[in-house]
Amino acid sequence: MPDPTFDEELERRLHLLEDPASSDRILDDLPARDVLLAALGLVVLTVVLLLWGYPR
Amino acid sequence: MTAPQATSHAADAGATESDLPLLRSERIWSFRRFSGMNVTLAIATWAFLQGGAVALYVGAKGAIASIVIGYGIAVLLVALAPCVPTAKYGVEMYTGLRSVFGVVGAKVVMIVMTVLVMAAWTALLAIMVGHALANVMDEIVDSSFATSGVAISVAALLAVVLAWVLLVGGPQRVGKVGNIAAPVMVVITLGMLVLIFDRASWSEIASAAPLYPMEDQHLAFMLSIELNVAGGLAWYPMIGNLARLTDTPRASFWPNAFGLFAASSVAAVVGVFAALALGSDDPTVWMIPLGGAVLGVAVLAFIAFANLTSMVAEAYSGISAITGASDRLRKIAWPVLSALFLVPVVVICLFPESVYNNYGRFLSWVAIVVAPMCGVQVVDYFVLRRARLSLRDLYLPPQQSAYGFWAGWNWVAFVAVGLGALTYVALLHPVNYEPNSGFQYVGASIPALVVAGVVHWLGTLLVVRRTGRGGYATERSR
Repeated sequence: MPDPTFDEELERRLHLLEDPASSDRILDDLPARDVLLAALGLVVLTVVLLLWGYPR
Repeated sequence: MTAPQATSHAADAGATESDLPLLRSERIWSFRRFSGMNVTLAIATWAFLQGGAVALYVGAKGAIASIVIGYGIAVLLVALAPCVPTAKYGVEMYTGLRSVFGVVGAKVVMIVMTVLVMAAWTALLAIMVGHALANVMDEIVDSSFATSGVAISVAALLAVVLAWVLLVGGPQRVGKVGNIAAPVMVVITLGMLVLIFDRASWSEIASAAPLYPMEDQHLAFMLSIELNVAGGLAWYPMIGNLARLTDTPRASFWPNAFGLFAASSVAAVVGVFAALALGSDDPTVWMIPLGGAVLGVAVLAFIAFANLTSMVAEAYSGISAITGASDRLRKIAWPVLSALFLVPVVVICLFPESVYNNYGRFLSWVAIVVAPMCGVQVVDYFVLRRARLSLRDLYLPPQQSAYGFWAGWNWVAFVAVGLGALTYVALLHPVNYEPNSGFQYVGASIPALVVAGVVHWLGTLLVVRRTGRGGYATERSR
């Protein structure tokens, strides 16, 4: 059974989150360069550690 | 019901404890605070347990490499999904997954993940508390509680009760406990490192054989990588609901690199060194030989306390998810809901060795489900939807929501997860942990993740989008 109190509060929040002018709007996207930087760092670390730590 | 009452209701219930989407002003964790929480989670004794398990297969250098590589891959993936979408939209993680599995399907996913996986993790931590306290008692009163399943169960149940008391205080109290525990755990980890190197040199540790050496060293290395990938992916069910509380996109992403990756890696490596130096994979038996009676007992007692932090964070995340399942569950008072979540934890604590002595297999069972789910969510959110969700549709009933798919179920996503799970099982037997042909080249979790992601991508393009379901066309055009 729907909860009218919850629904009203949800509607209030959706309105704020969807309004681009609201200070309570959704967060911006994570910049793509952050992901690329993390992935690149991981690749470099992986290669170095394989060269150093792979059991022989 | 008037609007002011509605607002009051949300405030009373605590938006952070319900599945309402969080506003920017309600995000309680900055970059620094989420980093602290992340490090706290990472340097729980489960990282030491992970190190102990890795030491079964490889020596020190192989362990360092496999831990960093395995955790690095897995943590990057879980930092992308679920952390990025939950933080951007402020939605509870399983509410966000309605865009992947459907409005009804996501509830089933949530129940499976919460009741089985998260409860099992909480129980594992409680059992570790039990082991730690039993070792403390044995040292103080010269008893043999550490070998008594009943004594460990009793101590674990005590930890569950204490976790419930902390949970009733909500996520703010979790943060306060973390503020105390995190710095001390860092000191303990570094102190262990000093004490280990006081007993043995680097060359001695580096040349120490694994606890159960295998003839095929490459296979042992791959098993170790797999153990660490699975260990990193195991954060998936809980980290999303914690990232939801962060106040910027970078605050939801990078702290995982400091905590779940770097701090976990350091603690696990210290665990490997301790296991190799002391010849045991059980972290609760390392402390007294390392630190002596007084220091060892003090450290064990503190570790038991610090584990409570992780238990509370794990349980908080699970309970947040449960509240999204139905209106009826949402109306249950937070303390009662917390107690209900802990019921399966209590049951597992009655059989302490079933989880504690089968850590690798336990991780394997988690990875069978979590790796494909992570792959499906990454593809769905970043590739198919280009990081755009319809917030409103996440909360609509199946017949009205763009995420209704087929009567609330996205069968394509479930088939993708199923095929991913089968891929895992084909490469690594989850019961006897025996690898099959192909595992030595690709492991098990990553292929499972890739297969699930590719199947979901193809299925969505060929079936879901063509039938106009799932809101994919709308979100791409935004």
